[in-house]
Amino acid sequence: MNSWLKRFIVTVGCQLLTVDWVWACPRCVDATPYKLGLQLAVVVLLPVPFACAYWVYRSIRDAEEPSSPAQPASSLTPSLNPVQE
Amino acid sequence: MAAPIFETIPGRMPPAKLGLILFIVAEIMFFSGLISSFMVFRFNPVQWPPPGQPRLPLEVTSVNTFILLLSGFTMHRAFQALKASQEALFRNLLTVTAVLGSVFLLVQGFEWLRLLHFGLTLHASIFGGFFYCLVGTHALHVTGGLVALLWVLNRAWKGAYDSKRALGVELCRMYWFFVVGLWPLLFLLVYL
Repeated sequence: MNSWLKRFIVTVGCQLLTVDWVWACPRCVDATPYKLGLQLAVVVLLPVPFACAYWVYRSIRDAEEPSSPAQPASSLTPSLNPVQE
Repeated sequence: MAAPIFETIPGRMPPAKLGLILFIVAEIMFFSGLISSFMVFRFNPVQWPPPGQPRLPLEVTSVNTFILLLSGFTMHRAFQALKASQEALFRNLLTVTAVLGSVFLLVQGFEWLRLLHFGLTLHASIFGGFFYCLVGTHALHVTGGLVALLWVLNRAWKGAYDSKRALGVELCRMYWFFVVGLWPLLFLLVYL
């Protein structure tokens, strides 16, 4: 697995684990009359920020167009022996 | 000479469009917060809406919802007409969109006056508080969209847009789609 992917997963995991609702006391959650509403709110709205982030990403990616045709990699690399007599 | 800050670079997203996308994302998160708090109270074992509260005008608001959705369709068709270089059709459809948006706001305002008369005020109950907060916030956004729409319409009648210069119309369309797309969700949650 790529190191950047590992770092990303660990970062997201750490952020999720610090969210209050993960540490909420199950007894308190069960005792409230608003349990169903809380659960529905979390389930329905949790994907919203992810969908928004994906929309921003897609919008930026789709707007990017190559301004010039792709050049071969060899033309971008400086020649080691530029002068040949 | 330095290039303008908001210059559109070919092959890159215009900064105004990116700014509007980020603004709409922030608005979506804002409404998500409002909707989540409403859902916590809406889906509880206690009777909802609370007893003794006036009945919401479902029939009129259903017709009003259709009017707003129709305005989204005319906005879409107007943009298509502009892209097809049909400027006259574009201006007419944009005018229809503005009229439909104004009708939506007027009907909403009229219904609010009736509900206030029947005793559903902001402080009457949590139901009234949520109703005016959710629906009122949306109405404010429709008002903002309508102001932008009228500004674009004014420029359109002056011939400021064509198939190549359509960024203002595109941004207006994006924001209008946001307020139009949000309303059915609020209608289902609050009125049904």
